[in-house]
Amino acid sequence: MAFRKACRCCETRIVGVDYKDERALDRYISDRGKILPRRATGSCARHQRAVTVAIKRARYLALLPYIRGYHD
Amino acid sequence: MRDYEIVYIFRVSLTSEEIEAKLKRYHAIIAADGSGEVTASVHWGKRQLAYPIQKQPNGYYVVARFTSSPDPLQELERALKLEDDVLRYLIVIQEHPWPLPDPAPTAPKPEEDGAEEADAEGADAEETEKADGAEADGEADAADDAADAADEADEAPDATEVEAEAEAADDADDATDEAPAEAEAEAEEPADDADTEQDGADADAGEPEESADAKEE
Repeated sequence: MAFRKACRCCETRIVGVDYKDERALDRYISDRGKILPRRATGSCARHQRAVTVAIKRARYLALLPYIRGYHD
Repeated sequence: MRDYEIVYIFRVSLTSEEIEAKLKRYHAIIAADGSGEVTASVHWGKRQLAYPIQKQPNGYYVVARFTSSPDPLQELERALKLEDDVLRYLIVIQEHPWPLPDPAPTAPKPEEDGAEEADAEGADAEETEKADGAEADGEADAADDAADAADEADEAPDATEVEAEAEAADDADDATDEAPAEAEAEAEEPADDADTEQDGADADAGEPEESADAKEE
């Protein structure tokens, strides 16, 4: 995990994080499917909250796993 | 009146006519109110679920947007909960103009270039989110994307970015004969950085885990 200094969402001027874009959200979860902490993602507080909500919605819709690599 | 977005996951055993019929029924509930209106409906298509739902490995996704007062939502939710062929649904208030997903090639109203664009856009989904409209411009954009990806990788490379960048570079090569050499040159350099950086990161990641184990014991 490469630690970042700047918030990726702020850099790319993303306002709302799309819960349907599981490829973008994939960067914010660990190889076990856990949501990465801010110290790892480098996100600002606002975007980290938005990402967290988006990940939880994506999990509910089975776009992202709740746990990855457990059953495989 | 608010803008909402709803995602349905249907059983894949349904035919497209059956799905259309069901969608029509649900959207009629929204419209029945008089003020409600369905503004968009996109068949995302059959996708593999990240985990089985009701023992189904796959689902057929449909995304729709509508404006409505809050009142019909209760009735809509009740109808959806009783429906066995909807594996899951999610209604959210649409706070942002998220891009609609690309329709599946097999969707009832297919758009020819949908599938091709999906690949190009997937190359760097995050950037796509911000510049969805511009993406369609094609040739020049593909080269831009490659350059952007290279810039990003320079700053803080990680595995996914390198992949995305490589794809973007490929796309650029395919799409443009104008400056393929440039794109390649830019693409190669950060790739080396990425390797070294990644090794370092792996080592970092290993240590805290071990200490955590030690603590447990």
